[in-house]
Order: sequence, then C-alpha cells, then structure tokens
Amino acid sequence: MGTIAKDTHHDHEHKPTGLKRWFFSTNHKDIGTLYLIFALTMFFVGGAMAMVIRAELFQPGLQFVDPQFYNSMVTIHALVMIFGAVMPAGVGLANWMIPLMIGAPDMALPRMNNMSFWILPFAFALLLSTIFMQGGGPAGGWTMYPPLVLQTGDAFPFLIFAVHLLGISSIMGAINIIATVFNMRAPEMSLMQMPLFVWTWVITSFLLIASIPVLAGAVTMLLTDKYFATSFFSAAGGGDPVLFQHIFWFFGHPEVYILALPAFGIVSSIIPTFSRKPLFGYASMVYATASIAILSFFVWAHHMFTVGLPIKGELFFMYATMLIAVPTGVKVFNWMATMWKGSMTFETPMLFAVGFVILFTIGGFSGLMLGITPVDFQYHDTYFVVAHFHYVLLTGAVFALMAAVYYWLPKWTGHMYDERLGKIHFWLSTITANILFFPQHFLGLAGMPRRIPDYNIQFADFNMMSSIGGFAYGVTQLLFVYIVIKCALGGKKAKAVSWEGAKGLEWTVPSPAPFHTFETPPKIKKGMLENG
Amino acid sequence: MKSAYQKILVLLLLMPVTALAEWGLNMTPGVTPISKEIYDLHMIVLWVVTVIGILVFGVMFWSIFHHRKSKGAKAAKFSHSTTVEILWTIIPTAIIISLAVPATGLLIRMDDTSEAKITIKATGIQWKWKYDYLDEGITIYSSLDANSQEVAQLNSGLSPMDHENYLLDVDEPLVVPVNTKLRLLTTAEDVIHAWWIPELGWKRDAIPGFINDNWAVIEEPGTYRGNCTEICGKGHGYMPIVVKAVSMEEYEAWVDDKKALKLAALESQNKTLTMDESMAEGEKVYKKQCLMCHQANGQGVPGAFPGLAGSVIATKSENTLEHLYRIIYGKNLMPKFGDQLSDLEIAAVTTYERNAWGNDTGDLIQPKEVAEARKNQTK
Amino acid sequence: MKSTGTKERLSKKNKRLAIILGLMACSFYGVFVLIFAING
Repeated sequence: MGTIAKDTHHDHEHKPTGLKRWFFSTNHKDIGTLYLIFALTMFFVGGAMAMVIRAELFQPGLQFVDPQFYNSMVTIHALVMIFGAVMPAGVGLANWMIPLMIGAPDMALPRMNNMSFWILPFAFALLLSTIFMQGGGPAGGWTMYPPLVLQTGDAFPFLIFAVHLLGISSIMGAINIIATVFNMRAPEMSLMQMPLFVWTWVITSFLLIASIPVLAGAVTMLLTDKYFATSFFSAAGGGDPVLFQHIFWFFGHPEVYILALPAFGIVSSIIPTFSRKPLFGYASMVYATASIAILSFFVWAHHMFTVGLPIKGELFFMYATMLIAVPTGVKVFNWMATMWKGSMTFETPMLFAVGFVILFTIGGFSGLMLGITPVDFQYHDTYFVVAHFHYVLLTGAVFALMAAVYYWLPKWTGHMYDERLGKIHFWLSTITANILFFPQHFLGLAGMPRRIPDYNIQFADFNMMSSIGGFAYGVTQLLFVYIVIKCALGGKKAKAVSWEGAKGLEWTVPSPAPFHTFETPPKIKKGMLENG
Repeated sequence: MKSAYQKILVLLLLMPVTALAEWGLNMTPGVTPISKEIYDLHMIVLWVVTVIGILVFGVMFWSIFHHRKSKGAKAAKFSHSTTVEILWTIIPTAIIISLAVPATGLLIRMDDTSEAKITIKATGIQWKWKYDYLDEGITIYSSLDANSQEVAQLNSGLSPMDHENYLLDVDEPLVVPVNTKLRLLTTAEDVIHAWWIPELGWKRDAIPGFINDNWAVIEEPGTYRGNCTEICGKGHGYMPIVVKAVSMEEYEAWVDDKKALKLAALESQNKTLTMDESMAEGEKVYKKQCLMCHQANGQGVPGAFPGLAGSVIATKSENTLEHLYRIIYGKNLMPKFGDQLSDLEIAAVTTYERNAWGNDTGDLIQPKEVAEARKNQTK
Repeated sequence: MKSTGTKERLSKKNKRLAIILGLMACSFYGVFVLIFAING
C-alpha cells in the first residue's frame, strides 16, 4: 500500500475543493461562512413573509390573503427570523471569530460543528414545506399555545420535529463553543482577558443548554397530547393550558437573551475600536452579562401577566423584570463611557453599533413599561408589544449582526467593502426601520391588537405608514447583499489590522484569514487585548 | 383614500403637530377609576423614560460631536471608575423602586373583586363571545355585525372606509349599568381568547377550563369597543367586544326584554315551518354562524374546513340525523351550536344546508326533530 | 511525536467536556419529563 505517504503529508494550505469542501467541512471558517450565508438567506425568506404581512395590513379590508394564511405567515415569519436568521448568524460569527479571538486552531469538535450546521437546512425544509400542505402551515403563533396549536392540520408533526431539530443543532453548537473556549484558549489567555464577544457567547451557550431542552420537552408534550391521548394541556382531561405557557416562557425568556447577548458582545468589540479607547468597565460588563443571563430564568411570567396569576406571582415577576433594567443600564452606560473622550470615527460598523445602542435602548424603555404589571394589562398583545420586540430584535440584534459583518468582512474576504454604500445602507436601514416600527407604538396604545389580518379604519394611517417603511426596509437590505458580494469579489486590499483602532488576536493574522490559523498558540503581547 | 398619500407626506414633514391633531396617539384614560389610575401610571413611566432618554442620548450625542477624530480629539486612556459605576447602578435602582411602589398599590386594588353587584361570565368561542348574566339567568351571544362580516371577506370589493365601527361592532352588545361594581368572569370553550376593552383599563385571558375574575365600575354611559387579543385561529380578528353602559333603569328594562324573548324562543319549538320560511331563516343563521368557515358558496376551505355543497352528510338522506348531531354537538374543529341556537334555528339552517348550492335534497327539518335529536344523543 | 500526544490529549479533553455538557442538556430534559410524569 503506497498511500501512507499521502496521509502523513500535511499541507497547511490544503483545502478540499468543490461541493465536498462545503458538505464535509470541518473548518471553522468554512462552517462559519455556511452559517452566515444560511442566516442571510433565511433573513430574506422571513422578510418575504413580513412583506406579505405588511402588504395585507397596508389598508383596512382583506386584499391579498386569507386570514388563516395570514396567521401562518405571522407564525412562520417569527420562527424563521428567530431560529433561521438571528441565531444561525450569531453561531456563524462565533464559529468564525471565537477561534481567531482566543488563538485556537479550530473549534474543539469540528465534526460535530459540521453536523450542527447541516441539520439546519433539513429542519427548515420541514418547516417551510408545511406552507404547501393541506390545511396550511402552523398558524397559532410562534409561541405554539395549546389548545389552538393542536388544531393545526398535517403541518403539526412537521412543526414539532423542525423545532426538535433546531434545538439539537443549537445545543450542539453551544457545547462546541463552551468546549472551544474552555479547552482551546491560547495558554497565556485567562478567562478575564477574553474579548467580550467570547464572554457573551459562553454565557449564551449555557443559556442554550439549560433552556432548549425545556422547549423540547414542551413540544414533545404537545405531540403526545395530539397523537397519544395524553392531556398535559387539555383542561377537559385534567390538564392545564396555562402550564404550557409557563414551560414555553421558561425557555422563551432566556431565548430572548440568546438573541441579544451576542449582540452586546459584538457592540462591545466595535465601540472601543472606533473610539480608539479600551472598553470601559470590562469586569462590570462580564458581571452584567452574567446577571442578565441568570435573571432571565426568573422573569418568564411577565409574558403572561394576563393569564390570571395569583397576585403574589404577578408582583414577584414585576419586580424581577424591572430589576433586569439595572444590569442592562450598566452595559449602556459602559458603552457611552467607552465613547466618552475617545477619538471617534464613524465607519459603517461604528454607525450600526451606535444605532444599536440608541434603538436598543428605546426598545429597553418600552420593555420597562411592559414590565409594570398594571399598565401591561393595557399594552399586552397589542402593537405596542410588536414595536417593543422589533426594536430590540431588529434595530437591536440584527443591527449588531450587520455591524459585525461590516467590521469583520475585511478579515474574511481580504477586501474592504464599499464604505460609501455601507453608509447609505446604514442610514436607509435606520430611517426605514423607524418609519416601520415607531408608529406601531401608537397603534398599540390606541388599541390595535397584534396578529390580526384586518383592522378598524382608525388604525389605517399609521398602518399605511408602517407598511411603507417595511417595504423600503426590505428593499434596502438588497443593497446589503450587493455590498457583501461586491466585497467578496474584490475591492481595496485589506490590511491585517483592517481598522486603525483594532486590537485583539483576530487582527494579528493576515487578511483574508488563511484556511488554517494559530496552529501554534500565539504569544500575547502587552496591550494586545486591552480593547476588551 | 385619495388623501392618504398626502397625509403621509404631511406626516413625514410635520409629524408631531398633525399626528396629535388627527390620530389617537396615546392610551385612552378610560371610563373607570382603575383605568384612569392605569393611564396616570402609564404617563408617569412614559415621562420617566423620556427624561432618561433625553439625558442619556444627550450626553451620548455631545460626545459623538466633540470626541471625534476629525475634530482632533485625542483618545483618553481611562477604562474604569468605581465611583461612576456605583452611581449608575444605584440611581437606576432607585428609579425602579420609585416606579414599583405605585404599581404595587394599583395591582393590589385591581385584584379586589369583592362586593360586586352584578356578575357576568364572558365565554370565548371560536369566534364569538357568550355572555351569561349569572344573577338573571340570561345568556346572549355576541358576534361580528353583518355589515363588517360582508366587507371583511377576501376581495369583497366593499370599502371598510364607509363603516366607522368596522370590525368593532357586534350584533348583540354586552349591556351593563353604570356606577355599579361589575364582576366579569372570563373563560373559553375551545381555545384561549382574551377579553379587552381599552376603556376599562385591562384585558384578561379567557382560558378553557379555568375562570378568571375581574371587575370594573363604569362611570360614564356610552359604547366601548375592543377586540379579542389572544390569537385564536382564523377568525381572531373578527370577534370584537362591545360594551354598552346605560343607566340602571335602562339596564333593568333590557333585562326584562331579554327574559321575555327567552320565553318566546321556548314556544317556537312547537312551530311547523314551511320550506320558504326555513330557507329564509336558515340563510340568515348560516350567514351569521357558518359562513366564516364553510364559505358563502358552501365550498369550505380545502384541508381546513370541509365543504357542504355536495357533501355526503348534507345530501344523503340517511345522514340527516348525523347532520343535526354535528350542528348540535360539534365535531373536531366544528364548535357545538346546541346551546347557542334554538331548535327552530337549527332546523332552519339544516334545511338550508340540505337545499342550497345545488344540494336540492328537498328535506325539510322541523324544530320537533331537533328537540328529538337533542334527547337521543348520549354524548 | 510529542505534538501529536498533546493533540490527542486535547481531543480527549474536548470530548469529555462535550459529553458532560450533553449529559447536562439531557438531564434538563429528563428532570423536566420526570416532573410531569409524576404530576401527570
């Protein structure tokens, strides 16, 4: 057998090519790229559904879709955006950047990494195929409350198994990140020297491991309720429909922070770079993130103030919810203090990061209002809530993800993106997103419930305004795709340190980052990690 | 519609002024003592966050304008300061406590349903509301008004703009007296709904198998409108809630009327219907109760709601009884109509379904047969 | 040869941590199902 020579020969720049490179990839950079491309695709799939929703709501009266289909759009839009766009984008960034930021050659478990990505396309094939089934897709809202969700037709088992697969994928991703950070760090890097993006992802990973199994349990119980005659959630059989809501939100509230914490990490990396000043209060940032994560397990019932909880419960969850404002406030103040007396420039990543801080804080304000139980009795399940969570998720999480893409694109592609177009993309996104979501606060306060396909004429003007903002925001995102593709294909060569104020290990490797990096652990020089 | 585009243009230019003038921007203060307290608390919190926002964003923008490289700013080196960090932990905590105190008091007052004069149970059903006046033994059903129903069909070609209370009007409003403590129980028959009138200051979920209790004292006579606020299926946007608050005398007169009507309905059981009467009455009932799912042409929605035109149940004579059972007791997604419709109405709608859309069975069902069917079934 | 030794040790260490974390996730699921099995 003369093949031994082939195996022992180890070429650092050896890359598999063609389809095999992507299907069988165990390289953290390739898998990161796959995740990011997948997330962007899903962002447009979910976005197309949002366009259907906004088109139907453009005017009062029913013009385009049947109410049942409308409900399924609302449901699948949420599932696709949460599990298909924001989470995979976060995991993609983690894959690409964590090994580079901590000086590791790859993720700890590269084959599992491959699997956790390749589950996703199958899970979404299951979920999206339901739209074409008899009886339509799941239409009971992404929260899947029984008994309504049990009225779903053929789509029901597909929904449940899709959620299971997504959960398995997320848990494997989380395990991988924790193992990488704990075992693969450059020997000279202590935990409290890690960049904040790494910290937020470690904490997020623990949230995933603790909360996703709870969701898996809840949807399994739905499955047995529908097909195996159990009655966990059926009052007629001695069960309790509210029990599902408790379980769901025990998962659901940490899930909110699973989406938001990585965004905090991204912004904590970007603001010091463009302020040319170290992150203010690194240690308090880490502690604030950890306390937000812990508190997130004790506030779930603020999603269900109107189900009729005992008054002691309502008071407890109100206090716990309001308490979260404190560590969140600390983070916002730290970002401001980082900018204070810096030497700031406003390239696109910084614009998106500052946009994030302001708009996320507005979402935080409405969050504080929603946390106060007596007034929540008015806000609950109205467009005020819709406005709130789109401020924290779209102008929050998604803005941070966009910032991250612009920030690290030079490292990924070796080219600078078109700065002028990037700035146009930022300003258009910010203006249109606000036209889209700000009027929804007024709609909610004026009394428009969420998840309705048609409405009274008193809501017509603000809905039209919101829809116009929505269409414009949707079109603007095509510009983003153009900018990314243009950058991948060519452009001004990026330096290893692509931004003047950038510090950290990821900037010590050339741009584009070679296929294999840090095969010998890097030495950490003084000041290299001071941006935090 | 002509002016909508102009309005948006003006709105973008002069948003605060026009918006305040033309549209509802804020929460309603409502018409009960509690709703007014809620409104006040809402305004307090809104002002608190607005002031915090102005301060925080003000400092941030000041920094953005002055500490930029193009202005020659040199980056400072500091990266922590225990004093300010303690300060910006303590100040928000203090603000939050000062908001939690009034909120706690209000919540405790809202929780006290004792000493209510009138108790009404609201039951959410896909997709209408049933109100039981527990002290009077009256039951009314309240569903979307016919006009909205017609306009709301997909591509109906009718404009909602002509209907001021489009989707916020019902055939039978909930009638209550003013200045009386009302106890409102919410529950549901099939899936979770939620009962909300913004003017009363709260919404509460209506959950099958559970009863939530709430209260309100309405201080101003008037008609107050709201919607179901928990997604409950296809008709979620089409189950409004209307409360008519009237003086005690008017309320009592209304109660007497309802009691008389209830007696009349009992007597109608013995009536014998002609085909024409049945078809006319049946069409009326069908439009109100069945059309949402089975559609105006009886074709249903494939995969979700079965069609009736040419269906085995509605055309084969051996299935007449099964047809009645389905209406009276429901099946799967089909709600039970036995409690809601009188024998006469069920007979008429059954006759209608068996003869409309080319079903033409010639079957004529009488109220007596319905009364029999109610007895037979052991479900 | 020494470098492959460390590599293998690292790989073992990674797998051990992954298994522990995986078991943690499973136990969250298990405890949860158990609670409802007892209640139900």
